[in-house]
Amino acid sequence: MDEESFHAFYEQTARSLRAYLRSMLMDQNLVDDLLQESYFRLLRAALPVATEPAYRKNYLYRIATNLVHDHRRSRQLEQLPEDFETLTPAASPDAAHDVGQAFARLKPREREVLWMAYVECFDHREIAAVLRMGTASIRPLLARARARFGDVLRRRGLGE
Amino acid sequence: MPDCEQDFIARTMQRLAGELSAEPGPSAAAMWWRLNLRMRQERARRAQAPLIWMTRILYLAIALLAAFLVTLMTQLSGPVVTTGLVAFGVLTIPAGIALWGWARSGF
Repeated sequence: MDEESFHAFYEQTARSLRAYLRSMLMDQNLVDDLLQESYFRLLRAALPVATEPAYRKNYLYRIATNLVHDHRRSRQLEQLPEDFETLTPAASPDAAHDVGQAFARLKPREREVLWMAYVECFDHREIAAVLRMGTASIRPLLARARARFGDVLRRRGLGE
Repeated sequence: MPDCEQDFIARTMQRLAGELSAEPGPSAAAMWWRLNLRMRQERARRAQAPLIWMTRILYLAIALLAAFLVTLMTQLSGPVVTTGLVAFGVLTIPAGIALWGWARSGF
């Protein structure tokens, strides 16, 4: 990948990938480290120039997700703490902060699948590829994650 | 699950993503510079790897040759030389191990 195509790809993906990492981890410095590591591994993988942007993006998310899993395994961090101050920006409105806290109550796998389905708009096949799961298991996992997130939001008075 | 709830979750996720995306991250130029630096460092490390292994093999060959010579000399000489060689070994082997460890730590 040359500098020009990297810039274009980075501009397209960095903001959302950083937000994804931010929603999975609580350490701001770690987010930037993993962001850099994700792009580094993508460059090192030297995908062919003709690779479709969608596949490249999917590959990038697979790398980032694996890095998050490795980090969780190394820290034995399966659930973010109750205090979720670091997830949402300090200046954000209270409602957004509450949503961030509610999101943090979900299991890591539920957070990942919700993010990929509703923020990245990946289809089930793409989510399965990123999470290294069977495509058929994504639908029930997503339904469970939605139900749980809805419950958590309602309990916090944020539901409809 | 009713469609309205699914829509609500989708909207909530979009709002959360919007909040988290608002934070500024490193620019593309800065990231490209950092990644290039890391790629160069990795290429240098890969290029050095065979040299490091060759050095290790050389040390091992010297150690085996020395052990062979010591064994040969003890067979051919008297007890004084044997004792001297053993004492020499007792002194130099720990020093060699210490120096090897020091070199491995990157000084």
